[in-house]
Amino acid sequence: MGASGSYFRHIKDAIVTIFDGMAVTASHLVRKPYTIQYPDRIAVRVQDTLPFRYRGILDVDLEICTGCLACDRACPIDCIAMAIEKNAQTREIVISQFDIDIAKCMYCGLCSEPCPTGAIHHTTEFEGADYSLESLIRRFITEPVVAYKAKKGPEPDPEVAGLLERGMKYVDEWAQPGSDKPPATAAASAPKPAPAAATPRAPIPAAAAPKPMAAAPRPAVPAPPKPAPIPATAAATPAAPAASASPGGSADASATAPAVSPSPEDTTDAPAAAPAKSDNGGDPPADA
Amino acid sequence: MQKWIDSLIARGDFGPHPSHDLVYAIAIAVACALVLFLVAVPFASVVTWVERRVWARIQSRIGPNRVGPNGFLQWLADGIKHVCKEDVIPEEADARLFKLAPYLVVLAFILPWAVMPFSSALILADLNIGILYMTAITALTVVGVLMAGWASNNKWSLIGGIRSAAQIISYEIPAGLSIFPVVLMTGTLSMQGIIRAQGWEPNHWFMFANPFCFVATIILFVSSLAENNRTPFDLPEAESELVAGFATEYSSMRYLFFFMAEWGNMFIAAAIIATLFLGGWQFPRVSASAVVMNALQFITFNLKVLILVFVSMWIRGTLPRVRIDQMMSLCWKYFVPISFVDLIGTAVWVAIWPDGNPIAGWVMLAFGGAVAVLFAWRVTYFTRLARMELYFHPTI
Amino acid sequence: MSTLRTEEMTLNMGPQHPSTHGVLRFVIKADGEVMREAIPDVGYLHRSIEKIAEKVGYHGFMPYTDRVDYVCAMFTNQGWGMACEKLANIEVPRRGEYCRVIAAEFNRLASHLLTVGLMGMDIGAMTPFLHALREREMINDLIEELCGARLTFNYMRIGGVAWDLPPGWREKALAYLDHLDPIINEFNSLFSYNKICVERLAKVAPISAEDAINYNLVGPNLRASGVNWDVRKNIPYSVYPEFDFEVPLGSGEWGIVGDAMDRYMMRIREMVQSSRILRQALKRMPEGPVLAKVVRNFKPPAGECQIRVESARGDQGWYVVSDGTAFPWRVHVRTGSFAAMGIIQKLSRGLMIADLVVLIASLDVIAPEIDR
Repeated sequence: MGASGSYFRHIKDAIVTIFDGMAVTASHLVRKPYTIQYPDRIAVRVQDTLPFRYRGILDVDLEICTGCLACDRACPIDCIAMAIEKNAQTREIVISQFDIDIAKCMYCGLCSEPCPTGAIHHTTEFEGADYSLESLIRRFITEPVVAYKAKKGPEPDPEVAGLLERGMKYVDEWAQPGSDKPPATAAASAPKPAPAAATPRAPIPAAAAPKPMAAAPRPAVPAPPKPAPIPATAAATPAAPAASASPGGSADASATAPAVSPSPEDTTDAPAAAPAKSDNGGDPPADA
Repeated sequence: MQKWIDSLIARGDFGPHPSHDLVYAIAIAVACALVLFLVAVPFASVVTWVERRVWARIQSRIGPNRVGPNGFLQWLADGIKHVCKEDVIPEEADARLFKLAPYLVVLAFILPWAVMPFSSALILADLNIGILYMTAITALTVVGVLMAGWASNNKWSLIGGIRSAAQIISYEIPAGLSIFPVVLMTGTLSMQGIIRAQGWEPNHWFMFANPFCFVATIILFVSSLAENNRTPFDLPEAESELVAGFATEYSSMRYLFFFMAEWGNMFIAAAIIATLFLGGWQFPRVSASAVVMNALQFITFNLKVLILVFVSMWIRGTLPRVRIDQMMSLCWKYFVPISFVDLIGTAVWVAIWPDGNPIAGWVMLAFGGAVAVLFAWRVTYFTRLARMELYFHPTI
Repeated sequence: MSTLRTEEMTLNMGPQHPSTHGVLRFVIKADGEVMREAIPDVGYLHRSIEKIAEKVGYHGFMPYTDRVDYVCAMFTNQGWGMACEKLANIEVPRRGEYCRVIAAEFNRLASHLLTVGLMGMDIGAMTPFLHALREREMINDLIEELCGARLTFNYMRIGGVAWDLPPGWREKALAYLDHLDPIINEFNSLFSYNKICVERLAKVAPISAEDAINYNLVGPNLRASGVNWDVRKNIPYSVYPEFDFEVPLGSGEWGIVGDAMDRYMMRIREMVQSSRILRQALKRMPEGPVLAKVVRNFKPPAGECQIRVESARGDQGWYVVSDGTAFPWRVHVRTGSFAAMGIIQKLSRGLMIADLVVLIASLDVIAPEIDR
């Protein structure tokens, strides 16, 4: 009985499990494929749907760079090359070289962490392929510029204020040792529950709801060796292909508005926070 | 068709005194070419695209959809690419056998089309040994595969070739044994004869004629998967172990020949099952015109064959591969005894009910229907379990 | 008439192969289909990561730990972080520990999904691989929102983690876990319980408990042989003692204790347990900072320390020697995959070539972890 019993048990097991397996694959035939047809058959540019913390290609806002060399020291691969001179009389720092070799960069984020103003930051750009190795060294300085000095009150120049506020939002994302709760700006958009679909992040055309700081339009920065500037159509309304795209789309367009509103108190906090923040690193602030 | 050609000769279309044999020979050649180029080769090519799309949907992704409308011309692009590739022959390989092997395999794929019963009038040659001819010719694949594996001068290819030879030869036996119940019931080996012995209603198909034939259908289907080196029996081309098995050293068009033959053989195997067990081209008599009836029968036959081909693609996407010793034990310990039981059971059945038993037909059909309903319930169970978005567009 | 020569074939399952998990090479001495021996040859992926640590310093080494095992990078991050914290006596705030556990357990889920999917692909079923990768993509999306990268996370820092949870992330993570649990059952129906899969995996290459301990196996490989050793329970670290979870053990229900099926099912069961831990952690997260104050010029006092972390591949050991400067004197990682390579030669005697692939996949060797 044992041998013949197991013989028929094998047959029964085979039939039952193969039946089950075929039912699973048959049910997959009526499900939506998970593929996102990048880059040409999607409604919104992928770069605009990536989360704020995405560590893409590095970018530097020279208007708010304080020349503290914290990023240069932090980089483990030495892909940042900076040259500064301190003018003894005017106590200004002049930056004459700021090169980042993005071919060497490993996108670890260790450079943007100690930056006091968020000048060096990761963008959501990831398409960096180019034809020559030379073009992968991004030279951000064409003529020597004076480094930024944090002001005591709110920043008067509106352009720089915009950059500073965006930079400080970036800086605030990093964990603040010694603070008790996540920074206030992160709570600007109330956490909305995920849309009805069970998948936590619907395919790309439906940008998931809480994206407070996605793709704020940035003023054009004059830096010729830079790659093609990101077009300022970041907040373009996506033509909703799938049903779930519409709530996400409108949320995206409106999210940029409330993201800007808490700015007044931010810009007052930011310059005061900047020297305090650089204390964290244990280095004396460069603009003492 | 012979009458039509005779009437053309009588009308004088071929000149005053044509040699009948020559005219017939040319007519047959033209007909063969038509079948091959209109049905066989396009099928073997387009089915690659269909397989990739079906496979992709099973895997939650989209298959090729760029080349041509919905990616329909992907096979053409692949074919052109393969033709343009460099033809590499390994230095120490036996060049003559290496080059001959793909042709043998393709020969085994092309010859059975002569007896493919597309409809009651559309068959190239209604041999009275039709089904035996088909089974014999499809066994030629062994020679080609073994030659390919051995002549490649590559130990991995050798292993693949030997595995394949063992596999195909072993599974010929359950396949042949599963054909015999039908032959017992009809008394003829001719394809059209077997189809004419069935009716168009499902309960008149041989699959549901008696429980032994039901099991024989399944055994024949699985054995034909094994003969064609399809998953779960694709050891000879086990991608994860032997890269491409016996075809590792082949490049460009020679490589494509092997796989064109494999996909074409799927059609042939499905045609065998459709003819023997699923009623072939049988269609209810809805019109008196022969042309309309033939067209409907052609469509019916192709539909049945394509559904079976789809099932084999579906199985390929579901099941893992069996190991060589498990495959052998499956064949010799399970399939061969079961096919013998089927054969003897059918023989006893035919002895008791020589003209068939209509009640058995209804009972087996009900059983088949119950299995289908159970399957559909299981599919809805899994679909609801996963709670993923439903999507019924087959072409995206 | 000469006698027929029968000798064994020497095959090379080379560094380029569709189914060795990374760049591995095996020299196989086979008699037809049955192997006499399969000798592994490692070292193709050696990148001197341990030496690089002596150049880049403590903070700078954190991204390099991702590359030690890029499939489960959070554990290597955690190991390095814990080693430095032990050297310098830093305490990680509670919320930071919870963030670490959440990130680590998500990474364990992702790594096990990859492993079971690869097992499917290695034995011929392409579909389970893609289903597992689809689920893994969803985890990658979650972690991308958390730390900005999908594979080499660099999420943890000495003293805690780099970012706190973004708003709304907790709900998304819980929604994902609700989505995942039925998918694991579906995966089992499709693949694990399939008769062909059971036939391929059961009774293949059983490892006895004694052998497993002697050959230094760790993680699911060890537990599949019946040895109850999980660093999270036996040498508790971080906040694992606060969570309620089980450690699955191999029981040989499909064949022999410690066979390939047991090792495979360990990973499926550990996924279920990770899901459990994640739910508890996400619900009970305390408030507070996530990063302790650590100076930029990190100079731990001279000394050495040893840390063990339960990574997806097993008990990962970190040994760091500091000489009081800003650069470590010696860093060593002891990974489970390296030990697993040692047992392959012994187990391969008598296996079939098709089983060698199953053996490698069931031991879950990842090449970068072997060679570092």
